[in-house]
Amino acid sequence: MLIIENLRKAFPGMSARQVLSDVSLRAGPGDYVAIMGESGSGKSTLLNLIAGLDTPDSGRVLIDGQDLLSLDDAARTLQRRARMGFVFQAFHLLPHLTIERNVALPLALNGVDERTSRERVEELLTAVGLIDRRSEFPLKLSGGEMQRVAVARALVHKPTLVLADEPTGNLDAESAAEVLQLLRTQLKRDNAIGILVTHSTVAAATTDRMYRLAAGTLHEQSVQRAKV
Amino acid sequence: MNRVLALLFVLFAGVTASAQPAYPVVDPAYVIEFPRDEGSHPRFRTEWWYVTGWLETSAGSPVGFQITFFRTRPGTQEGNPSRFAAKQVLFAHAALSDPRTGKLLRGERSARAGFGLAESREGDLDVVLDEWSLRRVDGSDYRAVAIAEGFSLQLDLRASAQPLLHGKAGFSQKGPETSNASHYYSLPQLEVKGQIEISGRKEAVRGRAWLDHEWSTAFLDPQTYGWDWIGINLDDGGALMVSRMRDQHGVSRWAFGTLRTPSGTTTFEPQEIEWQPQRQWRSPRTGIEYPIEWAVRIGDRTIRLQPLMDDQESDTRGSTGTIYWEGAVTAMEEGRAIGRGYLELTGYGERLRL
Amino acid sequence: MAGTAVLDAGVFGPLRHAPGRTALAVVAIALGVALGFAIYLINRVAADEVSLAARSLFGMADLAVEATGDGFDEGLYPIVARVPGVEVASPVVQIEARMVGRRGVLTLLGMDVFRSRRLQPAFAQAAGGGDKAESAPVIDGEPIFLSASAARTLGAKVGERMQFQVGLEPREFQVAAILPRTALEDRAAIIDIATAQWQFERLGRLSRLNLRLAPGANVDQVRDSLAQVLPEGVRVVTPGQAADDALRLSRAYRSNLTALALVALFTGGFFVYSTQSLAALRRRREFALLHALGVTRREQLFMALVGGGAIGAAGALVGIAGGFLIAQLGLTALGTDLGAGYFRGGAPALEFHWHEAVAFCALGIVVAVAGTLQPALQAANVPTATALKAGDVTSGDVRSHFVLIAALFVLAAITLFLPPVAGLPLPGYVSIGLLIIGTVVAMPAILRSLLAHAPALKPVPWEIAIAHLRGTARYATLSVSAIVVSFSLMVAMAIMVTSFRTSLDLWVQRILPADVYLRSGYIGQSSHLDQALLESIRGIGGIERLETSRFAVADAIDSGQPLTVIAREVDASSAERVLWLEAVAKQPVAANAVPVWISEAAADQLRLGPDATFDLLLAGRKVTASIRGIWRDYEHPRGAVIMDRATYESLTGDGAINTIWIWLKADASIDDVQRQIRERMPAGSEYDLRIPQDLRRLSLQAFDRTFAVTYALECIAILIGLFGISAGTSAQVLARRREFGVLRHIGLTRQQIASTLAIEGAGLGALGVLVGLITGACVSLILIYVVNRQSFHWSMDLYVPFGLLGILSSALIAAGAVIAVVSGRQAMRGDVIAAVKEDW
Repeated sequence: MLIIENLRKAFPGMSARQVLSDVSLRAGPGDYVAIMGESGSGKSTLLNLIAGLDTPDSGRVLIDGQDLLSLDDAARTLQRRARMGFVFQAFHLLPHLTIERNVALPLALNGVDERTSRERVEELLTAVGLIDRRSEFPLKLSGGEMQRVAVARALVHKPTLVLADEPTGNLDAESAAEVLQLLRTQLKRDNAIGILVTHSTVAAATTDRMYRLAAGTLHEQSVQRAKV
Repeated sequence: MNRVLALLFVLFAGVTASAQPAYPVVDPAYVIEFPRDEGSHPRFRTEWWYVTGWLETSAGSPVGFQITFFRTRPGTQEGNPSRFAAKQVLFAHAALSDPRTGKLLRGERSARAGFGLAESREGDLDVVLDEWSLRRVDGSDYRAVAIAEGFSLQLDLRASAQPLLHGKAGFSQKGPETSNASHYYSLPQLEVKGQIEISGRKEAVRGRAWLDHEWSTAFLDPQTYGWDWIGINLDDGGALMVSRMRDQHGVSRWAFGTLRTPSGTTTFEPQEIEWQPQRQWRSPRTGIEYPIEWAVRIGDRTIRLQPLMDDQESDTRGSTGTIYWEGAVTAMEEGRAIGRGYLELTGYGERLRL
Repeated sequence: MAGTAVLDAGVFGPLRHAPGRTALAVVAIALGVALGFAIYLINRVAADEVSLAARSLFGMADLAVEATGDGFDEGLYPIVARVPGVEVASPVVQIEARMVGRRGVLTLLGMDVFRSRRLQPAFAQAAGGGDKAESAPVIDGEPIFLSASAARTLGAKVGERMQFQVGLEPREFQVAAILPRTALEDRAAIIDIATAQWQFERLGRLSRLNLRLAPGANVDQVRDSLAQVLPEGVRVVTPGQAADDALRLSRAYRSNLTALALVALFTGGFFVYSTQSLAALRRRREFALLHALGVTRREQLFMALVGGGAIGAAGALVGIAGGFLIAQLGLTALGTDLGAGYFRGGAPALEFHWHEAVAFCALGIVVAVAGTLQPALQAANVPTATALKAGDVTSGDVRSHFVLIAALFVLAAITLFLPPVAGLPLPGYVSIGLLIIGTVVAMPAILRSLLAHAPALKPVPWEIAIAHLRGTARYATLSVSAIVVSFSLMVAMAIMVTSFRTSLDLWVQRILPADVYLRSGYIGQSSHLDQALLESIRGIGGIERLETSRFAVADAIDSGQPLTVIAREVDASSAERVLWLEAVAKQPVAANAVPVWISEAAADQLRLGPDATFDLLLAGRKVTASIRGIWRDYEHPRGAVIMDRATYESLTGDGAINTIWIWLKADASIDDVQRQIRERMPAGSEYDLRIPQDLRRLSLQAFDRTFAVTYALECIAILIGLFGISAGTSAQVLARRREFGVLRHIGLTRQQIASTLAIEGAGLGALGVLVGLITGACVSLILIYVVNRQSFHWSMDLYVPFGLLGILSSALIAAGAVIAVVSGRQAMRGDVIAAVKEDW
């Protein structure tokens, strides 16, 4: 369960700006939410607050009842490690680890034993269709393939929450569709909460609910379920 | 002797106060014999052989010359068994007065006696200091050699007259006390033949010279600051030696002289001698003023002295350690040259110490 | 040629871009230049001082006649003085006079001032100069004239009394004057020659005749004429030769020190190479872009080299200034031999010569440019199209260069067998250089094979770090090459020094079997012990037995080289027991030959082994010696010959003693015996009464003093090596910001990021350590068995300081970790998280 309550965040400085004035959101297991907005509307700030990578001026973020903001940096990191997965626009696989080890990294961090880890990684790599390339290094893959690996990595440790930040921004339409499909399928399979931050209405259309972030608050939009 | 030499002596002399050797005293009864007494008398403190004279080059120019050998017994290291012990020290000095250049050429040597390199023989005249030497070759023939930087002298000397014993048969009193005295004789009228070399140019010379030989232990009394001396070969075959001791004010303390004429030899008492300066010359190097022209009265005669050239000052602070004027002079009497010889003026700058 | 803007983009822009690394590169070159320059300056000053001092003993002499030991008969003096062409012959008696009440000896020159003043006018002037004589204290003792250097180091004043010990008796002198520096440069004093002969038991003997030749005399002709009158063992030398002789003993030490100082510069060059290579890798795209914009490859190469040159120039300038300061400090604090005890005298003034500064400046620039050359070529040849493409990374690309590596190692091995050049172990050094370059070239291959076998450990930081090192082998080898160079040399030095020190320690214990040692004087020194004292000591209760030794000097007739002679109670049966024999004779002693045991240095010099015979000129006599054995010796650098005391006495008539070896009865008290010996020594006499433990401590202290500077030099080389890890890590951390951001996202704590960096740094350190240990061990073998043997003629056994190496290795690995964490602290900052979203 993800509960976001009355988040406020302003950036100090010469042109002090209230980025988030009052953001609240609730999502339960299996919920898949899109957040859209202009550049600079505060999407990334919101994402960082949810991930516990930044602290709000006020408000709360609760994940499975745990208030992230009451924890210190190390404890938040452990929360992230256990309960969150990330998919980035630029894929961000570790170049010197094989596909397999990239995917296994969150499991290793969470101290999952070798056997379970291997089975789970196989399961996900099979799901994203890259099981044959498990021993290769990321630079050999295409963008779409890399992002599929990233999706596998984000979900491998069965997180409560997966944060995807513009995951199709660097991909052609075909690969993008493939990745979005995969992301949705896997989220639903593991019953995880998904938050997709995107410019793309096409991408947003693959989620269950859609919000627009404007003037510091979230506005729910009607969802045009797209055919994917 | 000035400070430099004093310090050079300090180097080997060391303990000067203790263990002064028993120097012999000059004895009025001593009979000088030749050639025995031409040689060295090493037990006395001081001794010198002094050759001065006038030369004439083949071209006829006159040149004055001087070759001197000193021997001293410093009285130190007498108990040191080392062959280097400085029991006897020899100094040599040579000068050429060449009026063609107006300059005095000088050279010197010094060494402790020993190893055959520096020796003064007893019993006959034979003094050697490296390549410098003065010796009696045979009979009345002598040879003097001095090889200095820039000039050299190689002269054969032949005695044409008897030795001239000064004072009482060679006992020459140098002050009011009889203890201040030396044994002193001269060989005047030496005929010179030989060769001089100036800046690599050799010239044959002829001339006439004078040899002084004097030895003593303490000839200067404490009040004596300097002396004036002449040795003149007279044209008539005679010889004249006059000298006086001055005190610190330039007043005569003592004087003595010997004159040999064809008719005989006269010695003069102090009161018969008077030195009257006629012309002063100031040295541009040392600033010392020397009376270089004189009227010397001996008995009833007055001899005027005129230098071959003005600048015949010797600055030997590097060796024997004195500054003095010593040069060739012509002796005049009643406006007429009567002989030629050497004039020595010491103690005009600072007190003469030996 | 490139315009200003391009030059700015291509040369100074990059240097400014990474100011920290540029500064480190400048510092590395500066340190190298500074050390090299400082050691050079100190050596130069030492050499100048020694040769000036040696020359000043000759005054203005053109030639000198001299003999080893107590010299020659004075009867030669008039003969030489009369040789045609000789204008002045000035006799000298030289005495190493033991000072009473002060440490050590003072060289006394007994001179005939009437002769010497024609060769040393400055001295005569000084003796009589100024008004000093009037105001000075009264000199009523035996006068002695101190050189300025002697007066300064002894703190002696005019009028002061000084005593010297002859045998066990004192001789008193009084300082009559202090000579100006120009009169006598050496730390010495002048006394009268007759006094010298008499007071120092040298009657009839002269050490030297200083000769001035007549103007226009032909030196060779005079030498020929002299040769005809000189007896065997008396030789003609020039003052220059004397200066060379004075310098020869310390030459090996000085050249080894210089080589060590240049190691720092060598390491600095490697550091420039790694920073420039890292920069070239990082800036591939930039270079490609410049090329695409129309800058030619030649221009790019030129720009890169100019960049290297600029680093070199800046470093060299700082280094010259620093080196001059270090030299000045070193000279004042440690003296010209940097504590090794080779030279005497005070701290001389250090002069600055432009040509030297320019030469070292050029050396720094050349090293920096050489370090830049390979990376510059690489940068200039960046494939434009590929490099411009996003994601182009070649950092994992490693070539093995097996042929080159093999060639370097084979060449290094061959060089080892070349003979020394001009007495210096240059081939040894070249071999070490080749070995190290070979290792550096081999680093990528070594790294790859090592990482392939790195254990797969569970912790994520380990996995990431190892994967990273593996993936960036080029970066890694570049970061580590400087440390490999400096650490292998440090390991080599550590092993060599330990081997030497342990060998020395064992040797000292072995050659000092007695319980108490009484010593006075050494070769040519005025003080010594005598038979009467020996007999008196024999009477002390508690003493079991006594032995004696006497030091002298003799010439090897064939080579003309002087050898130390040690007369001891020794015979064929006891030699094995009292000496550390390396080789023993098998044949009986040749007829009419004297049995001797020679030191290794002597054996090297004579090029003779056991059973051989050679002729010695001992105290003017020709002696045929039969080598009975070769013994290990760390004490007599010019080579030593041990012969039986009775033989020595019968050959020389010299009954003096330098050392009495005292063995005690089992129940005797050492303190009691020492007290009784002291009571038997003449009052006020100078002597050393020591137990072996003291002597051992003293010799080890001297050893440590000698090597103190080498330790310091090594540490600086290591520091420059560590720069490499720092530069490597900080260069990559910048490129890896996003990677660290991602890791933070997916749940690595700051701690784990730090661990990752620490593991990487420690990994690099460990790599440097591992390779450094292996290479260093090889280099130490070269140092021990080739360089030292050739420089100092010393054998030593191999002792590896495992503890020390362990500590050094751990320290270096830890330093690598710390430096990586410190250099990579950016990776732990919060803003790496933002980096994830940065555009490429």
